[in-house]
Amino acid sequence: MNPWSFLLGAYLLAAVGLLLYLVSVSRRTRAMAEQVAALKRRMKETAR
Amino acid sequence: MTLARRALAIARKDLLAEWRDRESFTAMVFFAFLILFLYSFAFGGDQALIRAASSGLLWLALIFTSVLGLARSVQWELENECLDGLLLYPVQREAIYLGKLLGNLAVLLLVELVIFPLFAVLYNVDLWLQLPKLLLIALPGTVGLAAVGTLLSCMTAGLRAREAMLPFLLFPLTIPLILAVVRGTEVVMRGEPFDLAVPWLKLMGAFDVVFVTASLLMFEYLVEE
Amino acid sequence: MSGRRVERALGLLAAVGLAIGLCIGFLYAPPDAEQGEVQRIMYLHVPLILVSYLAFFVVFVTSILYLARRRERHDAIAHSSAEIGVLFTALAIAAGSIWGRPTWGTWWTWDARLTSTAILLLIFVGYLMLRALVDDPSRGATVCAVLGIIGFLDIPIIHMSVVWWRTLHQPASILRPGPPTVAPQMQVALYANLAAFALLYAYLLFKRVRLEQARWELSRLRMEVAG
Repeated sequence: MNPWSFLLGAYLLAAVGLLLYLVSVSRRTRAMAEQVAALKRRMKETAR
Repeated sequence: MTLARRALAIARKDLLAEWRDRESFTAMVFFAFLILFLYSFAFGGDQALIRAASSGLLWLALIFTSVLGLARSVQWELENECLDGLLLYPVQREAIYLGKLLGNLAVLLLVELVIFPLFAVLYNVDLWLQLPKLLLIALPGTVGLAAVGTLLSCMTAGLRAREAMLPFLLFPLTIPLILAVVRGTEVVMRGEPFDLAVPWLKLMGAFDVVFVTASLLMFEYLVEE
Repeated sequence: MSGRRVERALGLLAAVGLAIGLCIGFLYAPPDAEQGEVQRIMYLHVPLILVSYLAFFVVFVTSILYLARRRERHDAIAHSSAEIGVLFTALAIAAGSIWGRPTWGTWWTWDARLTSTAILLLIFVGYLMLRALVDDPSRGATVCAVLGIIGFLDIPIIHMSVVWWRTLHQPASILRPGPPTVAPQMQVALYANLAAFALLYAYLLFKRVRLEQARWELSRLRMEVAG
């Protein structure tokens, strides 16, 4: 049983998990910012 | 009216409403009995195996059944807009929680009192002599279950997926109770020295104190508008 | 925006810290006498678990603060910390499981620590699910604050009960996934990685809180539009 495959597996899994989470948060943040901007634009237009 | 009096009044109201048609209680007893009955098929008719695992199986059935009763007690209030009525009346929030807790506790204990003998009959387990000790174990376990269950049922009331969320939140939180009550029941049923059950009783006691206190402190925030 | 600068700085610090931790863990620390190289998973597993406990403690404190003061910021931190805590706990269990396979021979044992950690994961996954199901943001915040508090209060009780439960079925010499004595170089590696993961947590928390605050802003704006 090669120890390095287990080591690599564990660290790789953690790295992938963390990176995926990071990407998820970035994506959600961008989507949220777009929604906020769009809403603000609409509010300005209806205010006119 | 003191807190205790108000709580008892609320509990009495709940129990009277339940007693009128006994719908929830009957459903719970039937459900628990059905699970006990199904064990025979799940274990391939191996009675010895069931007897060996009897403590765990008994409490597993009761815990699944408890969810039925807990959810219904708040659901009924929501459907009949009684919760709003209760909140208008100048009752301390703690009394509402305590009253609901006592009501749920009473129903659960009653179900247990019916299910214990049924279990003894179905699987030929001699419970009669051990009954007082068994009740001593069952009481703090049921109190803890009712305490967390009442709090959670108020938290999940009105949710789309309430039926699934209540057990999903309740079961992990009450695992210490499950471990304690099953082990305590084992001690009693196998005739082991009662000393072995005492640490588990203490655990359940600690659990009950922590969670009843925390629930009392936090309940008002849950029903605040 | 200073927020973005802080975020970037934290991210950089975390990345550097993790790199250093990796080096120390693989190059500086010696392999274990009994387990060999596989023991190095400890430098991933233990920091992940410890930092997740920190994350849930933060959930606990900010939940109390939210109930007391009703400030959105506290809820934002609570929700974010819960999410990161769940992630770290899940990864810790996965790493622990992978560690267990060559050392214990199985992917899962009902070891006291693994079991307690799994229960913790279940509780806070429930937290996240509850939050997702409640539509009204302030009701969701309140309900989850209560859950966060009782979830954290349960941790010591769960741990005690699971440890007692295990000692019934296994004698005192339980095979544990850690070297019996921790050599000083191993301790250095452990602390270095612990600091690195704590920094990572801080970075992720900061980033995630900003998302949550944007969400609160969005719901506020929506309420304004609705009148």
